[in-house]
Amino acid sequence: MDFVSMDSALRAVLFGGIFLVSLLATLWLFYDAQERRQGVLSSEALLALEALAILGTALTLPALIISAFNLDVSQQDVVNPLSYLGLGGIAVTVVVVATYAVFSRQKAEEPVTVKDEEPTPPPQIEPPTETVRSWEEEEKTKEVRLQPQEMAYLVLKSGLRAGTIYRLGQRTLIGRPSEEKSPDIALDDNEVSRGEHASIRLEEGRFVLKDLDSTNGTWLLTDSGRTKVEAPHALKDGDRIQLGSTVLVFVNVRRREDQPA
Amino acid sequence: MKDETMIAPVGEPTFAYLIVRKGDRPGAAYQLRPDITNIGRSGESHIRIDDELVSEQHARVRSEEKGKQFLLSDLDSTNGTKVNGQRLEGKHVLEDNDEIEMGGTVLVFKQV
Repeated sequence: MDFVSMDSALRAVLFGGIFLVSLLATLWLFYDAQERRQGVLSSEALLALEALAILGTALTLPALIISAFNLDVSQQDVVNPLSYLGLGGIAVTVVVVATYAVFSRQKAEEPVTVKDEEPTPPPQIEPPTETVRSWEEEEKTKEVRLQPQEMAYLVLKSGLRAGTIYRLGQRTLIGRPSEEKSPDIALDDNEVSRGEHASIRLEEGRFVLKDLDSTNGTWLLTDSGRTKVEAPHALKDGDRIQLGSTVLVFVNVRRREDQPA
Repeated sequence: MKDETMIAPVGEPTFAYLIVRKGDRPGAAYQLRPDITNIGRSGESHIRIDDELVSEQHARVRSEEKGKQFLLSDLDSTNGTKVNGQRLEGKHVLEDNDEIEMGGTVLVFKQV
């Protein structure tokens, strides 16, 4: 293909487009890499991909410049090489970004084991933590008579924030926080789905756990193993729930006389 | 809850909580500390209870067995402490769902 004989306006549009596409793809890579975890990519690999994407974009620039400025005949012998360089540039960018897109979305094969490898949690410096929920205030002012079975909590049993207790409301969403969604219970766990992984809803005095089509599922731990939560499950005091590698314990406060013997 | 210069308690965080069933903040959950948790009306208390019938320093929970066991004792409070309806004399080893009553406040012990 001969770029010299090509209409210069068309050439300018062509390489302008190529540069824009390359630039946008590179920008997306940077934005996305910052936003999400890198999947199976090591940070060195990610860095290399980012550098290559920039290089690719840079390679598309000369072709755009000579086309846009419509340089005179004496320099036309560089038009073809630079044009091919530009094409090579966008090819590099596209391949790099595609590689990133594929690998960044691949989950690490080995599930991260939290319990054994994690450093000892730092001692609590603060006085005992309280649950912070906005509707706690409402209860104070309205003097709502709380049904004892409606006082329920989830206790974080694993990870650095083990021991944190969350109060459950009418509907509590559990998931990994993302830019768009911050769930009520935000778990910093790679294997927990972003936004919404599971929900717990108060239905007729019972707290019902439901999986929200999460990637890795929601599980109930038993002494002998674990069962997947396929259908909504009414939680009982002491139920252990696993999402990704995070374990949460359901706590329900009842009146003593209401306890099963 | 305002004591920010407090020295960090030694030990790992516990999985034991006192939950306010009845009182000024129903539904609030307090995590017990790995050493000593003081309960009372005083602002210095780890668990501060806004209840006229609760003494400034009312009761104390001490963690034992590396946070596996919790001992409740009354700190010579004016109106005393009840556990599951029984007046507390000396020490009491807390069990899951134990109800601690002081003044008009009821706390429930939960351990997971």
